[in-house]
Amino acid sequence: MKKRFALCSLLVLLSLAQADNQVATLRGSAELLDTAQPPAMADEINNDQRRVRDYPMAAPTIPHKIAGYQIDLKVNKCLSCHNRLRVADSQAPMISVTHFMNRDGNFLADVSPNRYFCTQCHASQQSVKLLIENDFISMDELFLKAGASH
Amino acid sequence: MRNAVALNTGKDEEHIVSVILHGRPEHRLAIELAMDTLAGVERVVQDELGKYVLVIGAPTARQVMQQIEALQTIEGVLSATLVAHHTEASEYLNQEIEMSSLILGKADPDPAQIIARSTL
Amino acid sequence: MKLTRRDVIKAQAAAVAASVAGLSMPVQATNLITSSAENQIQWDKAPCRFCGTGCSVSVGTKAGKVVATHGDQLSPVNRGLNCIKGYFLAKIIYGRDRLTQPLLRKTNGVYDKNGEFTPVSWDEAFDAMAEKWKATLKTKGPEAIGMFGSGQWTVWEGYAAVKLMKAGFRSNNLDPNARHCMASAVAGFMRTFGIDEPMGCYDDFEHADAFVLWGSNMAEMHPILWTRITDRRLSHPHVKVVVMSTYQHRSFDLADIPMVFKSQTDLIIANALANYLIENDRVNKDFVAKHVNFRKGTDDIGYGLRPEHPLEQQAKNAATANDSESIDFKAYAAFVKPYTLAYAAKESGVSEPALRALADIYADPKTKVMSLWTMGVNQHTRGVWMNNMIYNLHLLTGKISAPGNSPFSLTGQPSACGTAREVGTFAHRLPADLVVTNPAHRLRAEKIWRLPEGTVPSKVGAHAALQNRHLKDSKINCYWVQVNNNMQAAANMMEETYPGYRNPENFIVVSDAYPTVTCEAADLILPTAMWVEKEGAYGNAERRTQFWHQLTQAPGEARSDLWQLMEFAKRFTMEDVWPAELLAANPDYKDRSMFDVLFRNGTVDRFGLDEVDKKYANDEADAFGFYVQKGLFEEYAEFGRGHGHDLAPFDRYHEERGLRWPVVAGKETQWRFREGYDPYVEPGRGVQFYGKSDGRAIIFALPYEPPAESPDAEYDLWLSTGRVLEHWHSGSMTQRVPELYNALPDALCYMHPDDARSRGLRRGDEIRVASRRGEIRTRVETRGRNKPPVGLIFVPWFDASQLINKCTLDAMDPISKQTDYKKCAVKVAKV
Repeated sequence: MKKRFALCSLLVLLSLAQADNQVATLRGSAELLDTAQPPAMADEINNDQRRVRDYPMAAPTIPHKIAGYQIDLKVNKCLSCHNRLRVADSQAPMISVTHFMNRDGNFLADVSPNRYFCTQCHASQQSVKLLIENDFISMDELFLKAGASH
Repeated sequence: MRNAVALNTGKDEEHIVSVILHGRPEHRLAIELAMDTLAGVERVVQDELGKYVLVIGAPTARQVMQQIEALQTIEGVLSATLVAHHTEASEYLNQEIEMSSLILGKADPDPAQIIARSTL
Repeated sequence: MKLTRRDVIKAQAAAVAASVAGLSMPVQATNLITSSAENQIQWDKAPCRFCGTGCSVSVGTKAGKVVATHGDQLSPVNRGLNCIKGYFLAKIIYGRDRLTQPLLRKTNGVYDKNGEFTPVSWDEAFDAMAEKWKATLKTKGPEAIGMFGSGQWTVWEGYAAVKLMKAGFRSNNLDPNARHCMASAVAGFMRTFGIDEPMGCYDDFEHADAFVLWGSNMAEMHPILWTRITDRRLSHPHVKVVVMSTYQHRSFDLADIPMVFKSQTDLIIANALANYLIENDRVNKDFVAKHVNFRKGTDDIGYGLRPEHPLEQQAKNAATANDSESIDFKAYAAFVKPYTLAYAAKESGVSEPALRALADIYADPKTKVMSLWTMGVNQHTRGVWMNNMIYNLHLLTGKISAPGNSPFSLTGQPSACGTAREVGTFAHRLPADLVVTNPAHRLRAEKIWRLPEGTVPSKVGAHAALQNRHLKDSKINCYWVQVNNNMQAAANMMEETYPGYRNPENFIVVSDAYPTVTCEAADLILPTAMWVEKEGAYGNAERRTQFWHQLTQAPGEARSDLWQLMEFAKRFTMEDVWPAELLAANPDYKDRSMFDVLFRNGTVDRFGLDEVDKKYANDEADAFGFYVQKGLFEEYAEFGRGHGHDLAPFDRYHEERGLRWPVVAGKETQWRFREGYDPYVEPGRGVQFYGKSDGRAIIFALPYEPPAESPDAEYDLWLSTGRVLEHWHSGSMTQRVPELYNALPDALCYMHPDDARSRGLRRGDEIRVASRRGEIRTRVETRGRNKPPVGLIFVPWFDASQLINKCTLDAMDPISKQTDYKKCAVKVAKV
């Protein structure tokens, strides 16, 4: 019963002329019914180069590997370098002051618990080529451009 | 464990934050006097109800926090809340930006006019 | 005059703070940035474009462009925080390949289903659409047209679509993609409480003593709500977090009691907990006596597959899946008696001590417990039962409608609540929980819409999966898709979705901002405005309706879904869409256009352009000559005001960071059904579940039933699908943001190292994941964020080049018609 059903579906499928992939840009050239070879898994960028943020409030991306870094009830690997008392030893940038402020706007002596899971806001970046470019223009560029037009 | 130098260029860095401060209106003068004595703290805008927007600049986040703590201890201050925090190497922050034609509107910039505005 | 980058940064930081503080930045005060308003950054609020948490953000625009976003300090939801997706909202509208012109498949200048996508004008696009729609209506009637909308539609877009389809075309074949995410939750609410949406609110997070995650992965899927749980847990050591899932994921990092259970055995665990409460005398007898009725639900209800499928033929009660019979507490106690903790442990694989610890959390009268669930429970062939069974626990103990005691059904999409559910964009619904099958409800809609009696069709239309089947079977021939990517999202793509869309008898129209795989399968693509390119409103999981203004222009000829829906209506006269008898009985409607009848009916068009806030653009108001958003909203609000769904006046929402309905006498409602919090509870009642006529909620006796397809000798692994933190849904927005793409560019197959080893696989190897229905190629990940047990793999669905829904099965909960995306059988082999 199931085989007949599957065969019917297959026949229907084959009878439909398959269009080449014209617009689905995130798929590259692979037609919808095809399966393309997936890209090889890329490495996390690990050069410690801090990146310019396109606006001050953007969460900075992580410039090093974090695979295997544990953040749970027992330990927070990130804070072992980035917490206030650790930066002298680690030379890692301190988590910004905003991380010491809790939901009610009060400053705490240590990292606010609601900021504990770093990877909710910060991610490392893989060394891959972008599929689609993004034409976001930063405020600095707009300040520098002559005239503003819609 | 990363012991590598995070500031790979070894440059000096600066921390710039903006803060909303709430003070009791009846303590206004005293609060403003105290604020103005704190290094790196600038009053940007305020209203008659005791609300202020401040900008604080300092070489380290620790010093920024110290200034915020200092603000919170001023008598009459109800709260000082951090809003934005920006960190960058001093070298980049020192870069000049040609603001003329865009910032000053469509008209050609009149240098005399600009100087007058900025000293208001 | 020279200024430094430092000056610019200081000004920006100050501007942000000023905006948050509600202070304006006078030119003199800044000392830095001068006169022209055009050159300052303007900050305005908007809800986040992504999940059902409904954070608010401040959007910075300059020279007509979005230049920054940051978490809105003033929003009670997120208080200035965002998750990683939220931090990059400013970039989502700027992918280089935004659609800017309508595209129609043509060969030699003429429409051809196998032709090349050719740019056409809006006129030509609507001409082609109208021609197809009219022809189909004439030959086959309204049941042959369909629309698939979205829980990411704005409130008024969904409302316009409801009117267009149900009142204009008189077709109930309107369903949203929220059918894939929240339908089981809705049916759960309607069965247990008689009225939709959570009775608690986010304030429960700061009051609860225990959090129980039933299959949800809040750390990645509701990150800001997770920060509130984390805060509560880390600040108060007595608080316990229980995380239950079929595989280990990031939420387990905060778990005091982690539980990995065998797929589908959540049904057994839920009953076992209920039994534990009864056996240990922890039932709140007073509460139960006053506020609860008991019913036994029909079982053996099938899986919503096609009728000829053997599983459907075997199911005794597929046609009466939603039925139930009245029983009493004694019968209920007897029903759950076999579900001992030992039995649950044996079936689920969870240890008995862990189950007992969880049971004690519900049992201890002093522990305030918040249960939280989303897709693990809803995308489930017995999802409605699971919803009912979690409510059972809270009703047996009386832990409901009070701060911290909260069975909280989390919503996935930003406006599945505000639009899809509340506006009723479903095949069986009308606004404010009304249904098409109820004559009194239809009459109410017709009155509010100023339409003749008999306009709204009474027959329930095709739901999401059925729409796909009807497309394949040529029963639906004209189909309009808005704000979703259903070719990628719907289950069983090879056998149903793809053949349906490419069926030569069908004309498929897709409105989207970006060229998705659904666009690829379409015949006509309409370029659509996004997010802050139009004035909008969303409603989040805690019933908070939030508004935003138009802040920037859509690119090229892209127009909002609202404009498209309303403009399309102009192409039809009532003679094109209503039957002769209806027009003969109501000749006043005869010569009018459908646009006139639906949108110029004296209600929708009663607010003029003078009411539009001049500070902001409003392209739709300009196009139609009146304040369309306000008119649609106020007409829609008539349905709910006075009926437990009260919305505040339109203008108020532009001022607030949202309000939680019912908003009565200007005040929002935090906890529903409890006196003192909910104005609808009659004085003296204490607790009143007023969705039911006797004020009593229902505890359902429901059994375990197996999944539709389990692993066997050949297809020996469970496949579970879902999302990841960095990508929203099908990735059409987030894959185009560099920081988010670079965080996780491709889908992976998360797998236990032993399963990899036994198949000769190593991390990074290319594999084929295949089910009986289709296959994809992907790569093995044995050390990732998701750690499945042996026997299960997880593949996320955000990747357009790894369409995992080629493998999934379109089995569903027969009551809710929601697909089960978490359970089907696959095999994995090295390529």
